[in-house]
Amino acid sequence: MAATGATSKAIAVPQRKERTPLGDAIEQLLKNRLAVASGLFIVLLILVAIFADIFNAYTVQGFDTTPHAPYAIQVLQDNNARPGVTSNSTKLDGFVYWVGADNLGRDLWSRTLYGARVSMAVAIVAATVSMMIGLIYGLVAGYFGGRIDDAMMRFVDFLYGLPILIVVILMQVFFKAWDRQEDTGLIFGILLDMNQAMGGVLFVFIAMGVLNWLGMARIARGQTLSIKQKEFIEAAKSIGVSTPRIIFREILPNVLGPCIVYETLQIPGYILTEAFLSFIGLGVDAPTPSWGIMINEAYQGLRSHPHALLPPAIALTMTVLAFNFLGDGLRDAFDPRLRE
Amino acid sequence: MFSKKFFAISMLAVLLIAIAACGGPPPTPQTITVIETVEVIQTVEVVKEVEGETITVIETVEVVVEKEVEKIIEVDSENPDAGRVRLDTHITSEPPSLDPSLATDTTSSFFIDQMFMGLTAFDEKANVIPSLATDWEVSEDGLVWTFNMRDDVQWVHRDPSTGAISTIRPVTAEDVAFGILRTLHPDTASDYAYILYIIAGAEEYNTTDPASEEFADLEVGVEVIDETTIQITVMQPAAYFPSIVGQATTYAQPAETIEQYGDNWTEAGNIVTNGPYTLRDWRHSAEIFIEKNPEWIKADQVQIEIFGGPIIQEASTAMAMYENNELDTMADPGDSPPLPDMDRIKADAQMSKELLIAPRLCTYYYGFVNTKPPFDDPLVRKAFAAAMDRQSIIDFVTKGDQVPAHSFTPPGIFGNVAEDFSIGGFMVEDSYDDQLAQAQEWIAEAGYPNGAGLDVLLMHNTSEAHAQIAQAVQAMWQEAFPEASVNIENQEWAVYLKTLQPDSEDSEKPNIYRSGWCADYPDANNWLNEVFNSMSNSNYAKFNNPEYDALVEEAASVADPETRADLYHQAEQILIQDVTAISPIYYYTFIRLYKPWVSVVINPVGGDPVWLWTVDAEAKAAARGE
Repeated sequence: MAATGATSKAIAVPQRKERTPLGDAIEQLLKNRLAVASGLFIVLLILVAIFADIFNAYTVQGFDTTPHAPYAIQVLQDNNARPGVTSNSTKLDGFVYWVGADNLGRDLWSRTLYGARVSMAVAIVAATVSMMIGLIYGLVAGYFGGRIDDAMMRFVDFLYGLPILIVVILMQVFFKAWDRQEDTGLIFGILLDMNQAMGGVLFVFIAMGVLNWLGMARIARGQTLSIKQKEFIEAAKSIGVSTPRIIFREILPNVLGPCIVYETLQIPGYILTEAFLSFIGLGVDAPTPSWGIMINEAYQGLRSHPHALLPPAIALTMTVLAFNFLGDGLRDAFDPRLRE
Repeated sequence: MFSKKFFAISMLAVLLIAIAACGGPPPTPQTITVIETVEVIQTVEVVKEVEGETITVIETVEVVVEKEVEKIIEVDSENPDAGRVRLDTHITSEPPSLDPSLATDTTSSFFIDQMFMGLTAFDEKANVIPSLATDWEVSEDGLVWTFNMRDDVQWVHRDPSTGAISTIRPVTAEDVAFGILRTLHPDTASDYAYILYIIAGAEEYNTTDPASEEFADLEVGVEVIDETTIQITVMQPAAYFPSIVGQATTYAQPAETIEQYGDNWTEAGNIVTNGPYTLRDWRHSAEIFIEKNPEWIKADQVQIEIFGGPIIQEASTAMAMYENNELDTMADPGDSPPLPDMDRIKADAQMSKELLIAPRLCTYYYGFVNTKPPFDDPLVRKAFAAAMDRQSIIDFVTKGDQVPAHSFTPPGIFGNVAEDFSIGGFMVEDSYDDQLAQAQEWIAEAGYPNGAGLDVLLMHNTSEAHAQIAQAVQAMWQEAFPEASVNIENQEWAVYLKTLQPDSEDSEKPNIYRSGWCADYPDANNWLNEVFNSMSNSNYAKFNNPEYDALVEEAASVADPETRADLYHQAEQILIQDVTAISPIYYYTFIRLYKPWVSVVINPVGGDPVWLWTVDAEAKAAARGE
């Protein structure tokens, strides 16, 4: 190993800085203004989601909301308040609804912020879970090939036959029934407590992540199949590098690009699935807000109170678009053929 | 040049021909050929022999002969019903059944009540009035009821190909007996058969295996005396019995039609009816129309000839159509105006006049599962029942001028205690702060100060309106018991009912459930006995109190109204005040919109009598710009 290290150092000396596939891609990505803006928007959204406790309208305007969470406080008299209206309750004297209130007198601004929490958490958790499972599965199948590959990929084909949305719905129903059992055991008890703390969405994440790695596995396998033929893999094999090291140090970095692109483009799907599940009553538990629930509540009164639909709908649309633009930008950046 | 011009002209000619073709021939009236049997008078010559003599006399005699004739009816193919009075409504959901024995939901019941008659019916004040029966009497011991029936009500059938409605035969006492026995027959599997358990032998008949030997020997206390007289024997004196025979489960049913078509006998084209309307068209999950029965006893008083419309599940869609004058009503059998639109409707100069709000014999309540801790403690139940600001829910969430409830039986039902605030008064104090203080005192007394240690699940069936109320109540409880955790869950109706069944596992059940009850007939027996008797299938609270059971069972068996009212008062005292098995929230109101050209009569019990409604066809056409 020492010898190879010495040679590569000798080659790396020239004045041009070292170029890696990832570095190239980032450089390329930064030239795409739309993708950069989308990336910044997503970062902003994540910050907002994390610090929703600070940015919600009640805290900003200096009101204490205990014992309620800021998204749950309701002033029934202020139901359907228009944007800019001041609360007429004694409890929240002088409070201004920046973007209006919903039909139970809950501040839409605060609820939209907390809704970002659910959407971002779904996006990140589901994407991470599915990427980890799919990548490892695809790498292993592609690298070993032969019968192992056949068996593993037929299993993926089998899972493809299951209608994912229905499985997610079934899992949700199952978990919710499970939640009512009194004696659930220690580990499940902890999971259920976490689920309750997250407003009932933990299992949505798990269900979506566990079921959405199939496409990722196929992409990772295909990439692995082509890369494992390359000379540098043969070189690594010939000097006796261990198999896990070849897979994770040599193949993985080369496979990562297309996989990140694929996953980024999947995220809007996760967010929309969560919105859909909440829309039909299988997502988060009331009163935890999610954009899907807020849109569901608002659209029923669309003809009378159109203002209530705007904040969650704008947030959802912009987020989904941002992830799509970022994914497009990443794809262009990672694919050398698309470069000018 | 020439060729170009020629080309242009020929193209123009082709275009003109094409346009002309598009116009097509003018619509011709469609004709249908019908074969009808008519009586014709023919003149025949008869040769007679007179007194044995061979004198031949030729006589001309008129004979009536039946002959088949082809008749051509002209139908305007564009609009076959032009000029007929029509009311356009919408329907909330596909009715599961139009079979009087099987219907349990309001949509089905609404249509059944337009198409069939019971021995009795209800008027707009919920009084029992004669319908198929002209009068009735009860034996001195109160056990044998004799009903005398009209003989001029006809079974009618509508021929789907011609639209002709023809009579079949008169409705007889046999049909009523058949209807009652069919409801009770175990193979029919009627969910509402229990309403008839008051009839002697009915419960045994309904619960015995029809394949067993003893089934054939079972007798039900229904006896046909003659064509128009039926005698029904009951188990115990029941003052409310005439309202039982106004229930759909006792309606007369056409035996031969049911035998011929089996389960499909209620389809359009098969069904045979006897009420003011008959089924015209039922395209499943799409639309339902009923049509006036011209042979009905009071057909001359029926103005609306066609009633019905599309099945629309989304109330907001129906509301948009209503505002666009495509629908004449936002009412049963369709949706009420959607909650979020209530403010706008009340503020709108025109729609506020179309809005009709009237008391309704229903109660919206939250039940506590009495066997599941911590709600096995009456103090916890009382605390949660007190910590609900009912007036705020009505003013800001439901917005239909409902009345805060403090008893299960609503005003208007015999035996209600809605005037007596010594029962459930703690739920409807003048100041909510008093209620709140009381609730906090009770919860501390029960051992959960500030709600510490309480983890409560509130469940409701999936519906936006229920979700709104549940969230409002959740916030109120959170306010009252800051350290308690209150979660909400919703389930689809069918799953929900299964979860709540008294024989389901307690671990599957929530602590608190939403429910409502509407009067089948205006007597507290339908409420206190049929819902919260410990044997009842609707007793989702699993409320089991022998003293209470004894009271409501005694009230069912005595005839004296004062004694009965007193017994129901005591029962309500236990249910609501002493142990607070449930927490009533409000007494319902009808919230409906009717276009100004529709005038209606509303029945608090049973379906609305559409046959008494009228439509100002001219005003309607004008509003629609026709």
